[in-house]
Amino acid sequence: MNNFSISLKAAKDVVVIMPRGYVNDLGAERLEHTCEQYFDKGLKKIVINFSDMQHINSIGASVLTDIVQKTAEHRGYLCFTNMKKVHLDVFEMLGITKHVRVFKEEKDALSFLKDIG
Amino acid sequence: MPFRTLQEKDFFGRKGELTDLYRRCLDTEKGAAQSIFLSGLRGIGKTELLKQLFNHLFWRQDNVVPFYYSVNNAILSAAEFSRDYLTRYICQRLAFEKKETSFVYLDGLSIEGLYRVLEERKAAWALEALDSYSQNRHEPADSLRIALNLPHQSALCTGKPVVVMIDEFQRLKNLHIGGATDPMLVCLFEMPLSSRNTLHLITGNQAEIQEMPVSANLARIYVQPLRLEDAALMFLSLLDAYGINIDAAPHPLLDHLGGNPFYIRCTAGAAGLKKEPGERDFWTVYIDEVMKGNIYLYWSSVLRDSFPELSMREKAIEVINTIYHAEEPLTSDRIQRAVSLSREHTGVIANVLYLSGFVSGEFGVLRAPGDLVLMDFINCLYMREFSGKSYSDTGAVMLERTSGAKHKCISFEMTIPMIREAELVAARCLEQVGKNLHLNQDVIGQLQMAVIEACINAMEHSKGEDGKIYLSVDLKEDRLEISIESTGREFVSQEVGEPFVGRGIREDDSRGWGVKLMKNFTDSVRFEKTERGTRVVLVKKLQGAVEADKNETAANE
Repeated sequence: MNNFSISLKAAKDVVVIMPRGYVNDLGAERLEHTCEQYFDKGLKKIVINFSDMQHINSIGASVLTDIVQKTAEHRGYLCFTNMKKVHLDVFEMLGITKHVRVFKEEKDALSFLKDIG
Repeated sequence: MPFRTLQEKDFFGRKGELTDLYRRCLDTEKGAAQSIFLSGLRGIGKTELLKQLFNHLFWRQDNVVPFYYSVNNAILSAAEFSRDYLTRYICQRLAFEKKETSFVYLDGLSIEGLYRVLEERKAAWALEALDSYSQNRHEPADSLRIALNLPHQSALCTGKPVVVMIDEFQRLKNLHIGGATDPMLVCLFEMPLSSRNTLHLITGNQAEIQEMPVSANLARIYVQPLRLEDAALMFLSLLDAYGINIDAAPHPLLDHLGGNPFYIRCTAGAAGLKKEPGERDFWTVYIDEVMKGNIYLYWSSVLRDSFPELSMREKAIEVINTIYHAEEPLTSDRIQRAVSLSREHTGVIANVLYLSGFVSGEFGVLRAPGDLVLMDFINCLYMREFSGKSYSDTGAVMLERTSGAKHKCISFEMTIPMIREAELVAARCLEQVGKNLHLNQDVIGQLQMAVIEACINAMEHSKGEDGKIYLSVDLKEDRLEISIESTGREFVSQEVGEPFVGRGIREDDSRGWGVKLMKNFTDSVRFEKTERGTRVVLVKKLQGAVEADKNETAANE
């Protein structure tokens, strides 16, 4: 039923991850695994563009807190972009937005990351 | 009498339930009987379902013996009950053997008379049972035990399993020996109810049966209200019997009657006496029924039986009215403050109201039941007896409230299976409903989020008895109510109607967030125990939501 998928855009030292469809426990775990793979390769700048995420549930959202934690462990940078208001509200409730940079557009996040060494 | 049933063509909307019960009864042959408590609201058709089942078992097969017994308030001394139960069982057992219905009607047969019949029929197992009963007939508890175990004994002796159907089971709590009521006598049913070759199907007043000590180990089957289509067919068929043919059934009224065959029969019966009734006439007939017809007689007799003393009855009506008009479930303390009663009186009245079906809330947090007709009955009674309104004024107010309200309410219903990600179906359905109602996208998103969480909770907490989630979306003037119901029970705390968190589910806190999200994205969340299991009701006020959308539309234009 779910058409969850992930598409990736990697450029130099930044990867843009675009989850598509319903982010439940399985979807969020795939997202987490993808982030981990990039961290393991030594990449530290990740942008997650949520423009194609249709729905998220509380389990999926709580898995995202693990991604936030792992980013901190790897001393990386995590940016969220193109979020619907309701999903932003969810992340605020879970306290995720205190630990990530949220941008309206993907290009704003890329611009921000470009200025970081 | 078990043979006194509706004709099959007049038995609407119960084919599925009847087939399921029939199959379960036949499965008794496999020696794995699981006794059943058939629950459901008053008037919903439990007795008729039992009688239809008896007829099916009696006429359509020879392997499983059916026994139907309706507990009579006049036969509750242990000695009399034992004799009656035993003789009726033997007579129905003999009737079944050769399909001789006359045996079922051998009322008042003496033990000596029964001996003669059994000797003629050479029924050794029954003679043996009768001997044992006769030797112990002066010991009421022993004779009761022998009578109750007789179906099981006969199954052992003859190899034919038995299905025992007991109607009005709750009356057995009044069994007595020598005039002293002993509610524990019903515990003698424990052994027969757990027999593997004798399936017991009990029914009656569900609240009272639930409180009886033997009900805990029974499988529970909830007799659903009729679906609207079946209610319409029933209504049209009943009118047809009066020679009245109408183009379409009055669906708003039938929806109001809640699929209750008793209410449908009463209303159609009264409408049948009118010439060429129209939609408005049906509502008028209904209001008359609630104010002075059979529906009135039925509920006022339940009220009288529950509160024989006049002053208590008056207080009870006040309590019910308070509960029905509260915006949320009430505890005993709040009721006590609202109606100025002592704690003791409030407790007694609340308990009787719960047992008699006027209110729901088996753990002391009381709320109106999902029965609009009963609520109308109480409203009428209150207006006339407490507010001093005349009969005609009460009728006019009720007509306006009921028939008018129906036109303002839009309702969507759907059933989704408990399969992975089925919550997305609910979310997508809600998106379309939201668009139809011109809600803005943010509000739709919030409601989708809350519904997804409610559906996941339903799946996690359901016992999987029917594997379904029942979703309804109701637009009520200024608010949207979304109800998500399933068979899960543990989800709701017994004391306060709030959900348990982290019990029997994932041990992390992520599911606790589900409830927080539901509350954050709606104006209120109610958790209710229902006949089916648990219902979560999400309420969202629409004023801002709809106006914002209209503004957007205007701006776009």
